[in-house]
Amino acid sequence: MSQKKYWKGLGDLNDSAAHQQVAENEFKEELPLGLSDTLLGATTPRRDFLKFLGFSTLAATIVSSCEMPVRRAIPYAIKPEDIVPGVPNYYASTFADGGDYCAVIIKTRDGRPIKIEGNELSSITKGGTSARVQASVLNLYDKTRLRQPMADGQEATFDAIDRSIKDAISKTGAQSTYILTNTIISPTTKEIIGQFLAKYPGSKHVVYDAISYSGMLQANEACYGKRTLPTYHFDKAQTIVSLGADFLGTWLSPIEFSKGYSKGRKISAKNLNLSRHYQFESNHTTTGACADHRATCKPSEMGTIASALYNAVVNGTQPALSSAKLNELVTKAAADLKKGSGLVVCGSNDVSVQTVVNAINDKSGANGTTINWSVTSNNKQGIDADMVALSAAMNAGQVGALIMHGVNPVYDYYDAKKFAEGLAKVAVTVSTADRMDETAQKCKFVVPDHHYLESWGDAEPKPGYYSLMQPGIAPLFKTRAFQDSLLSWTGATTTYADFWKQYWMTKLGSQEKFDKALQDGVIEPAGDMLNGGGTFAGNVADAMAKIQAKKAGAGVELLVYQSVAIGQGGAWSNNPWLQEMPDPITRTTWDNYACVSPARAKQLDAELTGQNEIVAAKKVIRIKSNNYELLLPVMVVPGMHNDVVAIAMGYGRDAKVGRAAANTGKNAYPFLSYNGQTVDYTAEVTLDKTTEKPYELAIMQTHMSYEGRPIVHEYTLDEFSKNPQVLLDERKAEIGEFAAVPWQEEGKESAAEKKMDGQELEDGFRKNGTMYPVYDHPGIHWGMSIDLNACVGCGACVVGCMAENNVSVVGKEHVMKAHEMHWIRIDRYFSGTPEDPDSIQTIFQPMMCQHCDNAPCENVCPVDATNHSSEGLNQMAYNRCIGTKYCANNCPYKVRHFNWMDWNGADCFDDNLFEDGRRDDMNDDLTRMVLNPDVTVRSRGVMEKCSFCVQRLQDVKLSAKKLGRPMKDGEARTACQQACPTDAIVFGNVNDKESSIHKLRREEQSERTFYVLEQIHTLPNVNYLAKVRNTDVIVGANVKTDEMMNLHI
Amino acid sequence: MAIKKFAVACYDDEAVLFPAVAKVRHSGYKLHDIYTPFAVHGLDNAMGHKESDLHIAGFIFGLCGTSTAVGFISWILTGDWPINFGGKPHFALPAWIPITFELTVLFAAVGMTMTFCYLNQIMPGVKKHVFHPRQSDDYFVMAVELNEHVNENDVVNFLKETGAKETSVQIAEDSWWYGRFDKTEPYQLLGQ
Amino acid sequence: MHLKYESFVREPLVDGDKSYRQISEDIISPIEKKPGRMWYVGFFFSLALLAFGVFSVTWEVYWGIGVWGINRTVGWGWDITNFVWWIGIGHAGTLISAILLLFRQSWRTGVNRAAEAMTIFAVMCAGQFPIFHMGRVWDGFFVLPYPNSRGPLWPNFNSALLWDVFAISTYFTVSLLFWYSGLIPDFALVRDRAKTKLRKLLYGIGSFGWTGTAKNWQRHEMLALVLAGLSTPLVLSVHTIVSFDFATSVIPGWHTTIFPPYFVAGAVFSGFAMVQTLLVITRKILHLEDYITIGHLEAMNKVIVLTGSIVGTAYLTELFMSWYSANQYEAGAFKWRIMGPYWWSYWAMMTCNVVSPQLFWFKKLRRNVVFTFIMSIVVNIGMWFERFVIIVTSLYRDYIPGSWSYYSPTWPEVGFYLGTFGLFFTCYFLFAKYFPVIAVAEIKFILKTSGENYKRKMDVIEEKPVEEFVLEQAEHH
Repeated sequence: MSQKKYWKGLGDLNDSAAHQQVAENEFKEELPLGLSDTLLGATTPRRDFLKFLGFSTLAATIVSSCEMPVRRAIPYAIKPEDIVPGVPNYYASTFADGGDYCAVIIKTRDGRPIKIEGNELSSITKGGTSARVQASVLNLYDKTRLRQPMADGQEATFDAIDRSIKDAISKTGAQSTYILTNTIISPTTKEIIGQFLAKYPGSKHVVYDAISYSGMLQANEACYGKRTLPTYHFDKAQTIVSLGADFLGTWLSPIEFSKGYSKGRKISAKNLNLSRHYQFESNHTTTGACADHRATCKPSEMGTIASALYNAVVNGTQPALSSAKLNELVTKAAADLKKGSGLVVCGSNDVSVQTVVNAINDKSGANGTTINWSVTSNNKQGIDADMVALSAAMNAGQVGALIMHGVNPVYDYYDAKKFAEGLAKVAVTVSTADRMDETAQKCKFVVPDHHYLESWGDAEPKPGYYSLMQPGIAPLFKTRAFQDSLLSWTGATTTYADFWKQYWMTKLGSQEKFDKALQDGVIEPAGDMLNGGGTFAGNVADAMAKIQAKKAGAGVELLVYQSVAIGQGGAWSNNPWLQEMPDPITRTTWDNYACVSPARAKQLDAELTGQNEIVAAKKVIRIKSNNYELLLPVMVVPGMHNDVVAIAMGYGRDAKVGRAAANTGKNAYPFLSYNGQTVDYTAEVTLDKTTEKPYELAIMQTHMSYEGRPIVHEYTLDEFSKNPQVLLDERKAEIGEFAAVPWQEEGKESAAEKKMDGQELEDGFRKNGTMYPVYDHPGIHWGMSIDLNACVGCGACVVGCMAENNVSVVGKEHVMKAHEMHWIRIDRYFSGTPEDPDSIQTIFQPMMCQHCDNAPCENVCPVDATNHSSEGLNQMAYNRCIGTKYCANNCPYKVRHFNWMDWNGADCFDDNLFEDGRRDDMNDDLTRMVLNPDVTVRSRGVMEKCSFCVQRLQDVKLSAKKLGRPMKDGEARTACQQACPTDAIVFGNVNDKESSIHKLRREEQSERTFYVLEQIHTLPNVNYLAKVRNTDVIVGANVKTDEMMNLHI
Repeated sequence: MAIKKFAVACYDDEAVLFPAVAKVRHSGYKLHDIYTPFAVHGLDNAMGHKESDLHIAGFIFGLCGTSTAVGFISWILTGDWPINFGGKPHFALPAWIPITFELTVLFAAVGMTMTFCYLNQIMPGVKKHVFHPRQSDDYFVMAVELNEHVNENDVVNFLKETGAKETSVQIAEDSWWYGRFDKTEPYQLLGQ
Repeated sequence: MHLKYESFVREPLVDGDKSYRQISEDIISPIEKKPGRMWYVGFFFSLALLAFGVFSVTWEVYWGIGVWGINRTVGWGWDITNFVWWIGIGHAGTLISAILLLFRQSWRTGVNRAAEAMTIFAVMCAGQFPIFHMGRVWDGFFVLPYPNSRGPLWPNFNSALLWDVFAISTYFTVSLLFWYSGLIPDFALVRDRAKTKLRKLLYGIGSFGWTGTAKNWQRHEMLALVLAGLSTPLVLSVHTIVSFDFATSVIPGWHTTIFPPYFVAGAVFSGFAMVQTLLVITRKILHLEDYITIGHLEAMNKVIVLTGSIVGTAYLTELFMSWYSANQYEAGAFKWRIMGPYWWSYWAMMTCNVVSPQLFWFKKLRRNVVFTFIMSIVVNIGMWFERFVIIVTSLYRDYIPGSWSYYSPTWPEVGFYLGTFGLFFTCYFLFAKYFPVIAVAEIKFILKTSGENYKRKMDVIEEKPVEEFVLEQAEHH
């Protein structure tokens, strides 16, 4: 290289001091923004947001490429060299919240993660997601997150805190140092904890899970010698028996299980193989709703049922349980289990019960077929006794330092008071909580951890199955990875990122493999998962004796359960998307409540009547156990056991957890108790009427019965296999006479009509059922199919849609006014006799814009704001809408949603959301970072609805066009389809004969295909597949059997 | 549009008015006009006026409304900007009937009223000479134009004989002008 | 000379010993006098109501429609209920002035002015609702057909709501023209009687320089006749088109062909009731009992019992159809109306609209002023419930039970409604003070045929033997 110097001007040539200063300071003018420490606290003007965004993206790119060591995050599917504005980048990563695991892909736009999608390369979650996974991106932009480390409630620096902690540990002694975490499935983190423990000999690591699986872990240790959980293969199970395990909603690993479960539920006329699912439960769960046979029992009876099932399987003993239905189902289930390919799961946290369940599985030959002991599951590792011991030690003053990560025992420990008292006796208390939660408030130091979207990391959900975590954005606040903190307290000088990379480089061997792994997100052994059994060595007799010994009381029992949306609580309590996601069964938002059966409600003067629909204010009752009592509103849930009251955990949070979390519900954790071995999630309680003011609950769906209307179709497997044409016959009866030409005399079937298949019926009806000429739809015609058999009502689609389409959160009081905005809702219908919980059958029906080809909404809009695209989409021009709401009125499906208020703070009216001037959490500048720039943020006063994710469709079409090839089937996917863990949604171009949607409707599932409200000739582009239950009778299909329908509730 | 001199006779009964009209017309005096407080049926015939053609104007305006509506809407929805609304055809004539009808009525009514105002030369701000303040109350006021060919007193006496309650001679503008009813006009001062 | 004669069987339309001058005096003098204390009380009460309405609407526009109780299922509530209710009321005026003119019903002259004014004010009130029920009221002008750059270029001429825009604006315009063209001669009368300069000036402008020449009157009659001819189908079309808002939809309970005649009959029904309410008060306060006689009230009560019966028949027909159609959604809609959570509104409607007007079959009740007044209010309450039943109880439980909901209004909705009462009565009080509340020229026109004193003179003729009368007439010609 030549040494010649080029100068750009005289200043440069002379190199004056002044010039040097100028040259150093490239941007010599002040930036148009106050880039100060209070940047994120400042209320940024809306118009500055783009400037800000543009600048920060650019600055981040330049700064990171020039001055900092480059750490490259490898894009997943699309591989741009750089960030292209307007083009999303995708990064494979991992969602891990305790043992809650999902392999994900982060979609970032202009440097901001805006959407989480499932990673299909993972053989565990297989691209499925849950509502929480979908909503996790919103937690990143949570206003209540801590923005700097705190010491004694004051802002502090990491250095100062590190020094204090190290000093303190050395002072108090290593032996009395504890690390308390939730289940950690990250191998590198475990190694770092190991290093810490090694550095401070005698220090201990205690694992504590708010939702304990201690009973299972201990039972498995006793039965199989492994303190671990097996992998359950629901896809391989022919008979599934669940004893109170809500495995599709909340139990253990719902995404994984939903994926597997739905495989066995997808039935067609050609393949009539359908698994049979028995559910024994106390409350009404989504899993129970999906079950073929369901019986209710008290929580304390679960062990007895397990014993009875064991006896029935092994000895063929007739069960003698508390109800005839239980006896009947146990006998049936035992018979089915004996056929093989059975699987029994149990939600109990009792070691004895789990031992008996293990024994049943062993006897029925599940081990090695549906239960895999070769590849186990790391999802849960906490042992209740350890935590009890720690609490005792703290109170005894034996703990000098306590570092807590991922746990919040002051809130969710069964004896939180004792823990808090103990905590006060600990000299050094450190929390890595991301917010001032109940525990962090009582800690001396709070060293906030990154959000997972800001972190490097990894996970090992099953031995040998790895998943890498890479950030989608640089940390927003002055936070530090937990691992970095530990490394620093250990005295190591490496950063976690380096440690992590070193670890994986060593493990994988080469940069190439590392890049690949990072790009894929998962590292898995080749081929199918190994499957092996185990040698059962449990003491069944002892377990059964213990169960026998526990006398169930005669009174009411309380069950503390996890809600599908916010789970055990944590940061999820403050996630407005999840708070507003209606519970699949109760369809209630923003609160917890006392779920009781209609019969029990009658005793509490809260009878289920038509008035129930009108009055949001529910009677408040007192739930009293030995050591705790709560006043909660009554939620009447058909299908609850009559002697059970169920309360969701995760509510009743401290105000500092966040605004969405505060004032929602009450804390149910104190009802928990410790039985000497494990934590019990049940309690004996008394229920009393009170004279308290009724409490208003925000319920999204108030009517329970589908009134026998042919909007959902349910058949028993028997009916369907005998006559797969049963649905087609019903449809012909409804619309056949309009489909066949010439029109026939009413009531008589014409010859032409008789031999019509599904397609001819639809085409005939389209053409002949109207006086108008038929519109041709050449080219693309989008269509969607929803399988009612596969839908488990989990709500992942609801939240996925909110994230993708910037759907607004409206808050509790507007949900009460039925002002919610969800583009997709999951209607839940009960049928059966309210007084008899065992008779209740529940069905879910996802409902979104049906994109009718003859859309009633389009005709009535005076300004043309909604009309039909040539691709069959019912489209909205928000810009044009004046908000007459006529379209919503004229929508038979009621899927149009009006922007009643300024939900997004996007309007010219300043600061208005609620009448008293309150703004929502979703309305501040930080939270609005989550908005998808591809989707218009709707202003106040306009109508909106599902668009079939038209932005995604356009994107796919354009990318295909750029590549000069036709669009491929499966490329265009809607957000709901992508979020769905059961693949219930199929989407595509129906005009493409090769597309899966076309094949599904015309070939594979033509017998199960139906359209909602087909007779009014709206010609929907969404079809449903009828539900087929592997049961004896469909209650809701008949007025005589469905009392719910007769009672009009 | 000229200031003229009039002999004015006021009657208080239609029964007296009608013979008087006939007599005046018979006499050859130039009957300027008759002002009545309400529509006296047959007076137009008695004065020799033709039937009004106002309704024809209304019909033509109505036709304009119909063709505007049908033409405009069909051009918009089939030619200029055809859109698929709910699968209905672009040329959806039955759906346009309401608006077509409304526009027909609107055009006819507005057009005819404007024609009415134009023909009667009335509009806000227009002023005309009021021969007697009770002409809108209970008097039927007949104005006979005076010119150089007739004797003023003859005319007045003649009118008195026809049964007029009151008579007078007035100088007045015979047509309309822009003015205010609370102002006295210069020509009226001239006549004093 | 033509004989002014009307059968003695017909009761006089103008009572008392009236001359043309006396009529002018009776009707115009309230304009020239200071209003009474009751007027001030009423006027300021109306103004206060109006102010509350303005406040309620401002609140709604500032915060958003979300402050109302309407929701995703029931998208129209009190707003459109009140709209249809006011529009219905606005039908009586034009009906009286147009249809009764064509039918040569001379009793209309006593009431037409006030009824037309009521029409105009009612339409003004009605118009507020579709405007302020819009989510983006500031963009309301998007309904006008002019080229623009906001998505689709033109409005949707196939939408019943756009038909409404045209129908209501046309109706308002034509009613205004009709009303005002009748007012011009009466304004000229006020002008010519005026003693003060200001009154002369203002009524001078208002009278358009009308002097009442023979040709003017000829054209005036022609105008009235043709406008009546145009208004007659117009008045029928307006409520027909309003009913299309519902009839052209797919919602059970809305989607029915009976709506146009049913709505029109209902409109006349409620309109006449409102006219009764107003006239009973007006005649009392302004001492116009001689011009708005018991006979007038009875005539209108007859119309009420007729239209009430039509409406009742329509309700029963709807019920029959919901059963006969064998459509479960249709049957459901009516089942939920009758016995769902809104049962009270259905039965309120049935009682007020079907049962109570039947009492008017009794002549004694028809001619009882107090009873008439009470009934007029009962009918209007019933007709309000009819609209509420049609709109809200069709929407709240339609096809998909999963979306069923309930609706109750919030204070801004109620305030908006009260505010339109404020607007209506403010206008009406101003009208009663500053406008001739009875068409003076038209009353004068019928005085000699239907005036009590003139009819008495005819008694002499009535007593004559027929032969003598015929002979006398023959001699005349």
